[in-house]
Amino acid sequence: MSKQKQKAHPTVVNGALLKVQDLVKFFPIKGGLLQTTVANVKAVDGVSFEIKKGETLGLIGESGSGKSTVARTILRLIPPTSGEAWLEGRSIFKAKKKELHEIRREVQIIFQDPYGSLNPRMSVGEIVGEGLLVHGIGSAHERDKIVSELLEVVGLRGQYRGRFPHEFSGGQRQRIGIARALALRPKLIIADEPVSALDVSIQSQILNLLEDLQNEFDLTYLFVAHNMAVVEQVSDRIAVMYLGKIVELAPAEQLLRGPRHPYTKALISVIPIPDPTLRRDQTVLSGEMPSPTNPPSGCHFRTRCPIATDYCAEVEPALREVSKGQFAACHYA
Amino acid sequence: MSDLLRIEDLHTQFHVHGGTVKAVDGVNLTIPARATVGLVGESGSGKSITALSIMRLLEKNGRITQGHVWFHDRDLIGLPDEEMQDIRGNDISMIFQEPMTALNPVFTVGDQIAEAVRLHQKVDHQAGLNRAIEMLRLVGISDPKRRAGQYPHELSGGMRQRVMIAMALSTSPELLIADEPTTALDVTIQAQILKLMRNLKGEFGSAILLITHDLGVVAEMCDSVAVMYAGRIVEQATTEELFASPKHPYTQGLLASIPRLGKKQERLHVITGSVPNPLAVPPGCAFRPRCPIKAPRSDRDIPPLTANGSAEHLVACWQYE
Repeated sequence: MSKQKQKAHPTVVNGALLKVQDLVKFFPIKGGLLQTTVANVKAVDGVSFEIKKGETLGLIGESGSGKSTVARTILRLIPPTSGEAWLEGRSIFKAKKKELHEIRREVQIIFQDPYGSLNPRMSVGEIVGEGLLVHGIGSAHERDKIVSELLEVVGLRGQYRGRFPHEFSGGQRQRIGIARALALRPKLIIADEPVSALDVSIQSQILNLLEDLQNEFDLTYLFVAHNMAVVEQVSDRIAVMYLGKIVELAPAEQLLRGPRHPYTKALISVIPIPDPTLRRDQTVLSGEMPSPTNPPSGCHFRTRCPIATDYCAEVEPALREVSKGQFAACHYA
Repeated sequence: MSDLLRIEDLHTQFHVHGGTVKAVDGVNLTIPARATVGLVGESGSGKSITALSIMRLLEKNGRITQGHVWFHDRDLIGLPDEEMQDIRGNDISMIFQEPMTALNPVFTVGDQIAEAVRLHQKVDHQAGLNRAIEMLRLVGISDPKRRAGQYPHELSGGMRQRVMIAMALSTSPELLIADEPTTALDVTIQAQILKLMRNLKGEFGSAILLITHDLGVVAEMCDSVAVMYAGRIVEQATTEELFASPKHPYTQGLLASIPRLGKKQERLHVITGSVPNPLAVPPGCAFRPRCPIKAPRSDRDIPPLTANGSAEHLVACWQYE
C-alpha cells in the first residue's frame, strides 16, 4: 500500500504572526501490566496553517476533530508530539523559561465556560489583574487603574473590581474573561468556543465586542468553534478540521459559497437555517466520526464520504490549492 | 385539526433559597393532534419547566400553583398519580437533551425499552424485547439485536439519542415532548436525528412539542412556534408567519441578532442587557428593561397574549393595544 504524505505547506502566507507546521499531538493510551503505550489517540495529525497579523482565522470542527487540541498545544498548555509553531519567528515549542514567559504574555486565551474558567474565590480585580501581577507590571495602585479601565473597555463598570464571579451573569463573566485576556496587551488571542455557552441574545453582544477590540487593540484571533454561522461572522479565513486534519481552508465567503471538500459541503448543507421558506438539498452523512485511535487509512473522511473510491483508502490526499486561496484535501475537489 | 393538548393559564413556582421563582407564569398553549409545535426561549425562560409541568415531573421544590393541562378532555393537573403514571410513557413520552441522564446505566438498552413496553402495554418480556429490537431497527440502529444487548455507556451520544427516541415511541404515544433533543450533538449527527424525527412522525402520527433555543431547528421542523420570555409566552404564530413578520420586540431582536450562514453582517444586532433575575422580575412586561419600544402601560401591567392580524398570530405587547 502506498502512502503519500503531505509535504508542501501551501497555506503559508507572508507576514504571519503565527505559523504552525506539521503539528502532531498523540495522547498515549496506557495499558497492560507494565502500563506501556498500547495505542495512541491521534487528536492532531499533521496540521499546518498561518495567521496574518490582524487577521481572524476560524478553526471549525465537530467534537473529536482536534480543534481544541490545536489551540491548547499552541499555548503550550499541553506539549506537542511533533511539529513546530512560531510566533513572529520565535519558536513556541522550543522556548525556554524566559522566552516562554514572554510568549505567554503575547498569546492569551478566552475559554468556553464562563463559569468554570473564573476562580470563584478571587475578586474580579484579582482575576483580571493576575497577569499584570505575575509579569510585574505597575504598582498595586496602577494595576487597579488598569483593571478598572479594562472592565470599562469590555462594557462593565470599573467599580465591579471588588465583586466576585458568582455575582455576574454568563455574558458578564465572559466579558471578565475577555478583560483578563486583554490585560497583558497580547498580540494573539485564542478564543476557544467563546460564545457557545451563551444565549443567543448575549452571543451577538460578545461577538461584536470581540470585533471592536480587534480594531482597537490591533488583535489577531484564532477563533475555535463548532458553529459555522458564528465562525463566518468573525473570520477572515476558515479552516475546517476532521479527525485530526485540516480538510479545507479558504477565505470565509469563498468557503461558504463554494465549498470544495465533500465534508465541508455536507456540513454546510445540514446546518439548520432560521428561514422556513428555504428549501435545500441536504447531504445527511451516515455514521459517525471514526475513533481517532484508529483512523481510516488514506483519507480520514472516506468512511462517510459520498464520493469515496478505492483510491481514497490507499492514498492520503494532500491539502492542495484548488482555486486561488482555497485549499482542500480531497483527490476529487 | 383537533386539539390534543391545551395548556391554560399554567403557573409553576419553585421555592429556592432567597424566595419564590415563578418559572412558568401564566402560559397558554395549544398543541393540535399530529402537529409539531416549537417552544423557543433562552435559558431560564421556563420552556423546560413547562414541559416538566405537563409531565408532572417537577423537582420536590417545584409546584403547579394554578392552571390546567387538558389532554383530550382530562385535566392532567388534578389527575391521581396512578392515572398520570399511565399517561406518562404511554400517551405522552418525553426525550431529553442528555440521554445519559434518562437511561439507566445498569440495564441493557433492549431491556429498558422492553420494560417500557411491558409496563404500558401489558405484554410479556419477550414480546417487549421483540418490540424493542423492532424499534431500534426503526430508528436506524444497525445490528439492532446486538445493540439491544449493550449498555448505554457502550453507545455514542447520537446512538443514545436514537435509543431514547426508540423508547419514547415504542408505545406509539400521541404526544412526544422533545426537550433540546439535538443540542448536545454535533451538526452532522443532529441532521441524522432531525431527519429521523421527521420520518418517524410520518409513521407514528405523534404530535411533537419541540423545545429548543435554536431558531434554525424550529424553521426546519415546526408547523407553529411559541416564544417564551421570563415564564410567559410573548408571541405565537405559524412558523412561516413568525419568521416572516415577527411582532414582539423580543422575537424581532432575537431573529435579528443571530448570525446568518452565508450572509456575513457588518455588525450583529444586539439585544442589550440580559434576562431579569428570576427572583426580581420587573413589574409589567418583563422584557421592558431591554425593549427598544417600551410601550405605555408596560411598566405597570403585564400584556396579555392576544390575536394580532390573524387569529393564529398571538402577541403579548402593549404597543398594539
